[in-house]
Amino acid sequence: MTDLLANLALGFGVAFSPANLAFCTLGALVGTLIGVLPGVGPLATIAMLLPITFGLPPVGALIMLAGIYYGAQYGGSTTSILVNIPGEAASVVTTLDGHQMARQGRAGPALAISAIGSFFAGTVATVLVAALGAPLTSIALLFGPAEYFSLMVLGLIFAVVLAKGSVVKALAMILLGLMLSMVGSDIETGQSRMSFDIPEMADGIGFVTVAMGVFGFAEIMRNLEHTSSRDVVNAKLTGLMPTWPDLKACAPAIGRGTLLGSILGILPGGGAVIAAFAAYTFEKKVAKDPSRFGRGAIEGVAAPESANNAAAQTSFIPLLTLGIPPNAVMALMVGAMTIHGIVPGPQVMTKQPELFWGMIASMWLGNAMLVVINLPLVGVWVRLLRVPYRLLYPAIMMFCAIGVYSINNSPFDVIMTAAFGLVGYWLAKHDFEPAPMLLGFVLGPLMEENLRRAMLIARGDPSTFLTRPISAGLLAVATLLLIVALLPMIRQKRDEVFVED
Amino acid sequence: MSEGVQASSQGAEYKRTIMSVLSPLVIGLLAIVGWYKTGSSSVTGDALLGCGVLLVAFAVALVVLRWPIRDPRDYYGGLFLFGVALFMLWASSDLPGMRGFAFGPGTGPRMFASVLAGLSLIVMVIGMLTQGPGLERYAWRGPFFITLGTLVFAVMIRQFGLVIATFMSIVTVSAGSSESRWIETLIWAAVLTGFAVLVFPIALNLPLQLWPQQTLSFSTILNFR
Repeated sequence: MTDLLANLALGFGVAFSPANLAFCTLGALVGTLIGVLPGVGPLATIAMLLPITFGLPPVGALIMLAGIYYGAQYGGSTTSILVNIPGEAASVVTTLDGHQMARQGRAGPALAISAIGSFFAGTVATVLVAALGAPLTSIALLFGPAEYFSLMVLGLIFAVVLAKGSVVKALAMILLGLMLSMVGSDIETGQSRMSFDIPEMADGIGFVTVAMGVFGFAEIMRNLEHTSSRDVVNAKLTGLMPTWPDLKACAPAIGRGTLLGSILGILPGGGAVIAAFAAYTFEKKVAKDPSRFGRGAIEGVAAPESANNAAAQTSFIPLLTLGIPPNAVMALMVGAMTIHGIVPGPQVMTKQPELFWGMIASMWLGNAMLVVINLPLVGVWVRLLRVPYRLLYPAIMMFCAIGVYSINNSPFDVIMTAAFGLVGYWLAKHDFEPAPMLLGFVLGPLMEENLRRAMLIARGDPSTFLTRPISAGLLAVATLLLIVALLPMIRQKRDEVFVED
Repeated sequence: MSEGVQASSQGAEYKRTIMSVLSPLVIGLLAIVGWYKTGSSSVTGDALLGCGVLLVAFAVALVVLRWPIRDPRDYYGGLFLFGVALFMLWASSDLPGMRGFAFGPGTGPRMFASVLAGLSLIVMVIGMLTQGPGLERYAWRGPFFITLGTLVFAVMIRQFGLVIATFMSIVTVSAGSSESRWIETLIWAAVLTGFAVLVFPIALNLPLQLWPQQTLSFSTILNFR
């Protein structure tokens, strides 16, 4: 306990330094600024803003990224409530009651409760991350290459099972990501692989190029297909603060949302989306009058918003302790860390305590920023929403292009980003989810390395993955999950075939 | 696939276009060319040849046996991913594989590419067996101008400097929306360019050149790297 307090104190010491405080604030602000644009979710936002953090010291950069993440997520909630366009999957449920509240003139309380709920959930989850970080790290030290490989398999399977749509397609996307990550120099021999003698490819395909192309550019291409008719709530935002009865109604909902979100966030692959859906359904189940939901029930905003924020926070646990990103946003974080020369994993906590604890403290700070800064700025965000898309997207494109170019001063990277934009557009047209691909892309090198090492230690005997108990257990869970996910699909498809007969 | 044949004879809804026959044919022929190019006989080469012949035979079977394609979205999705997997197999075929019980540089890519090939075939077969929502229409305007605008930036940034490259790129990208108006676009592009100059080279202190190079000449333009 005293350890925990000492560690948190260290963290807050780092986070409250004027420079880091400024990075966090700036991150939260810019994150909201981009995240509030309709159709731009946290993933696209982080991908677009990654380049601006490259010039900063590692701690500052990660703190700023955490700020961007929370800002973007909050921006997503804002568009859900005001425009009925969820910025990302996690805030889809927020539109149900949030937008109804806005139409009834209660946009202010809806936005406020979503910030307050998020803040409470963030506070609880921060403590949880700090408390669970140390014990989980000691477990991680027991892991050998075989266990690491199996754990990553489990993580990827989780991501597949929880992704929406076809399981097989999500699996294929992961494999595509793994394939793309193999381009470039081989880790062990340094031999150039699949780079076609293009010097810029010798280092592999840039992580930012893939992420920005597949998420940022493709997103814009898709948005351009729909003519912009947006249902922006025009009523003046009066009475920002929720009333006392509102708060009383929400308190238990926030509590339940936080609990559900914290648990679901730790699971790899799940994270914020599932948490938000689960919390909403749960709230509807326990409500005395479920028919209020969907017609502007404030609990219907409070619970999922708390849950997705709690989950967003606790999903840092597997990343910081095991070095394994549980979802695509965390995969982006890994990419950012690697660019700064930090290898995420158990050693971060022991070797760079100020980074680890500083980041945890800044998560809480990022949440606080949202309440303190973003809420009063709601009016500005609303005005931003009224800017027509034909003016917004060239601006976004410009930042993306200059951002990608400035990473390596390489025009080739910009061309690759454009190519991946087309790839992302094609994937979307064929109903392939790009998020598992990104996860596979980030985990690829780690997976290959551990697989090779495990095989070398076992002298080429692949049964090592099944004879080591931890590894076998992880693989068993993964297999079970996959079967559970595939069964209904097979049954349904077979039914379809038989119906046609 | 027997169900498929029956369904087609009963006149169930399905689509089989020239594209759906040509695509596997072309990918199959490319795979065979890939096998030819790998030269010496290797497992990878044999796999490429096998898959190529399989795809060509499949294309023929599509026509001869009148197999229906119920969900073109999954069908093309799986087919092209299969093509990507074959391409990756070909691209990694020159890398050394297993040495004793140690993985070589080529083992990982070939392993993952094979699994991807298997999975994409499953997606493709599912696309033939089950009814789906059908192919979404591709819009050409947005993707075209967004890609073009980005390329304009990439080609111009080194030699023409940030100001001209950004301005030209924004104007090109703006053409992607049917709602853009010319005068507005030009003004907006100028404003954004000014903003970019303030943010990137000045505020973020990035080493970006603002104006065209002194040595700029017609012959150096193509050498944009």
